[in-house]
Amino acid sequence: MSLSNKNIKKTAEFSLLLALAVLMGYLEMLIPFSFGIPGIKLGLANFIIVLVLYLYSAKWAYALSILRVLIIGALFSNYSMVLYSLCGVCLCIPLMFFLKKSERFSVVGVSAGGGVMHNIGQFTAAYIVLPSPALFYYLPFLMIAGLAAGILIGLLVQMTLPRIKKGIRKFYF
Amino acid sequence: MKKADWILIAVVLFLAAAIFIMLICGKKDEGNLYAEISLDGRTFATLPLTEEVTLPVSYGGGTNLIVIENGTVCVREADCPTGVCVKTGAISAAGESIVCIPHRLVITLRSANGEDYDVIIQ
Repeated sequence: MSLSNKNIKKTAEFSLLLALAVLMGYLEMLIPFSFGIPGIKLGLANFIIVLVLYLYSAKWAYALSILRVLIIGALFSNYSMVLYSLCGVCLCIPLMFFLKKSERFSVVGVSAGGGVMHNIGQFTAAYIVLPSPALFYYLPFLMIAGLAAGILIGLLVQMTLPRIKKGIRKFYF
Repeated sequence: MKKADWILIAVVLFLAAAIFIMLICGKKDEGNLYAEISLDGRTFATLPLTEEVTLPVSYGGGTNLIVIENGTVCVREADCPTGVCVKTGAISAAGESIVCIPHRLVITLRSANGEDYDVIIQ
């Protein structure tokens, strides 16, 4: 009984975080800021994903990001965006998992690595769809953008994590 | 932030810079554009735009004088009735072409690394 209770709580928490991640993706679409290169954005939803990686495990973070991409894709964007994002997610989460497991990196490092890897994944997907050498000119910019976004998200998680951990324990455990 | 974080950031910045510099350097010595001259549908000659060439081409009773200079190609003189090829002027970008229908002559600029686009829009 207590086990199933715990599962229900976890499911509820997970759903709440998933909803938040979807919402953050949507919120970001409402803010029109562009750097002239497609694919560069802050990735507020990654904030939730990094949070889940630290609160639960890589498995949950993986599930959450894939569900988020599918939901966002079905609601607001198109097929190619889903494809790009999925490729990004597939590379980004394992890397973050390994960086975290090595225990040499702080949240900022883990998140920065994830950000870079996400953009490399998206680049790979774009290159498969459109194999043109000219595309390689995007890669350095995408890497630096991913790094910057990852660092910002990492700092945000670093500030939030202790408080959320405290709150979750107070309410549920 | 730990020491490993800074190392990771430095490595990523270094990689990005390395890729960028490689691309910039690679672009220079590609000698990228060449002119493909075809007569009656068959490729007759391919010439790099880096050399200065003046080439008279005769086919089907007519002559076109093809001139390559300063990275551009033009047909300077032609004895065809319309002179469209001469009026086309000089071309210098991948994918552009000069056509002379009466003499069945087509000059197309191609890029050595296979990029025939200026811009890609999705």
